[in-house]
Amino acid sequence: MNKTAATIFCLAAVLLTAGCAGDDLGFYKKGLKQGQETAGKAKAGRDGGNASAYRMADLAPSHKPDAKSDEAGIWLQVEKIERWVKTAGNRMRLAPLNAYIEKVTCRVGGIYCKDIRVYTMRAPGFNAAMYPNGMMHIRSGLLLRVENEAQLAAVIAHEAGHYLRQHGLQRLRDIREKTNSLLFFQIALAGAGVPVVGDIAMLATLAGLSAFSRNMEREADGYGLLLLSRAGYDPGEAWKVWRFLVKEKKADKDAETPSFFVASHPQSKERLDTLRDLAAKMQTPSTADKGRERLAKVVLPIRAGLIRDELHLRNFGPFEFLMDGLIERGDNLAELYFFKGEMHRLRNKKDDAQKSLEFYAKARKAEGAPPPEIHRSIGLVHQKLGHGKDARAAFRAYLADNPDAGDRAMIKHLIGKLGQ
Amino acid sequence: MMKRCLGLFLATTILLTGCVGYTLVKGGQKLELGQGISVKPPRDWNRRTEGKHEIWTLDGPGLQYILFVKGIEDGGRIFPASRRRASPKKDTFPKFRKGMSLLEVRELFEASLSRYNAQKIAIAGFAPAEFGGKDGFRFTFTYSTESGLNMRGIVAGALLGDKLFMVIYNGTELFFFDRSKGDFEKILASLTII
Repeated sequence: MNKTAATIFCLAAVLLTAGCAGDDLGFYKKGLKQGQETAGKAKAGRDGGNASAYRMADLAPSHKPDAKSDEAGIWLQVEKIERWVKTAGNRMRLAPLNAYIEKVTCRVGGIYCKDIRVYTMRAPGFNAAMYPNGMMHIRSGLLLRVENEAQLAAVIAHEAGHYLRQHGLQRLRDIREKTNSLLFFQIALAGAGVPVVGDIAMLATLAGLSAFSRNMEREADGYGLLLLSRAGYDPGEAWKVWRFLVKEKKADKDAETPSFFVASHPQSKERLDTLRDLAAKMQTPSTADKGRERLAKVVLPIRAGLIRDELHLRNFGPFEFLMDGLIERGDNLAELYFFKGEMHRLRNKKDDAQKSLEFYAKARKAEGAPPPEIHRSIGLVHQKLGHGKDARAAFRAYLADNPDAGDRAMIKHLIGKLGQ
Repeated sequence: MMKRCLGLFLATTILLTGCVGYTLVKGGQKLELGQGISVKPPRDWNRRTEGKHEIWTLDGPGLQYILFVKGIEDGGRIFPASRRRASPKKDTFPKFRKGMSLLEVRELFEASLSRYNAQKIAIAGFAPAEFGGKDGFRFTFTYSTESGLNMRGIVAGALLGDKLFMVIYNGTELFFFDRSKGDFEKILASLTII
């Protein structure tokens, strides 16, 4: 990616992921109410309907910018990024997952279905971003954090709200002044022989810019709720996504890198309460759909890999919170108990070795199937505790279960070193 | 006053850019890297040292590099600190611990790599291998960078006493990994540890 593309990429990312709510909630509640009444009068269906109260008509389906406009220039840059993203190595390429996400997107997007393209990127943590041309990114970590399809749809609907209100474009126009001064700064520094500093300066400026977007986020929240409800999903699920994130953040004692998405979004408590109150006031049919099983069917086969991504961060507080939430939901408990064991083994504080063995034992008895490396982990803990015989037995069990393991030679070597 | 200003400017520049500067390594000559390690590269490389780490590259570290980890001790990190992007309130970066087994070293490498936003990390072929004439290990890895670039690499190393020695070769899957792999293997074969 060249420097211009990288700059636009960062700008667009900040623009669209940046905080979505403001202090004045009046306009947003009013708009939502009107939107729902209009939809109710028109037809209570899943077609996205006419959303005049929220002035979605401002952006026609299949919208393309006027070739002479500044918007066209922005699209051109973002389309370059999208071409890159299509072949990016970290993009999730699983056909069932991508087809599923596309289906959910179309359901909430309604008549704008074809305008919004979601790319799932393999990365831990919660994040979602909308670009001015309809490209949306979600992190695979999001799939662990939503309990059901309605919650996933709530995030997609929120991001779709940014697109429908052209927040990206608005923000690019708003910040033109700032980027101009930034460009000057970069040129000055480059002249002084310090080209790299420009990137740091850019980051600092962008961090300042993100603070301007809270009202946009609030608006996207309102649109999101509306789209969710019109698509027949239970709008009462949207606030639960935020409840989860707020609690996960609290579990992070080190708070080294607060989620970008959360940090730039409206005050979490205010947002959570507002979304809950609004959902309660909405005309939700008793048939409102949550879709827990549909989400589970797609996520469960890939869940272990996604959990490993989280564990690599070794941020054990939020990880434990995430795992306990998944255990509460109860799908393939063997896998989840195994990862609780892994967490204790890697944390390696007082009593952790013993606790890890307890969780591995629980995993072997629980419903579902633990990942194939469970015996290797058990062997490692026994080795650490000086239980040579148990370590050997566990490593041998690992080799028996995994005849084609990539670390077979190393495990055999370790068994040899443990003696007879 | 002027001198102080200039000094401050230079210090700030160095801090901000993190550029300590590369020096040339002459090919065909034996080179002492410190910590009892020596190598004989078949061709010229660019070298930058940072304490117990040093990075060699031909086309820039974003395209390919060899990272020498020269005997880190308890609490040390596999990758040099300056490669870190964020400045955390508390350093939670995964650390090497005395008494770690080789399986844990592999996990440490994986966790350390993920701190640089490496995604889809996969490790293969973990096996015992001679390292500088000592009993060591070797494995290969692949990952994708945050911007979607596929990378490939080789790790060779050994636990000697309570210290971890490693040589990490990393390059873009397209072109650069293959281009310098042979050169890396020759450097690795020439490595000796006292």
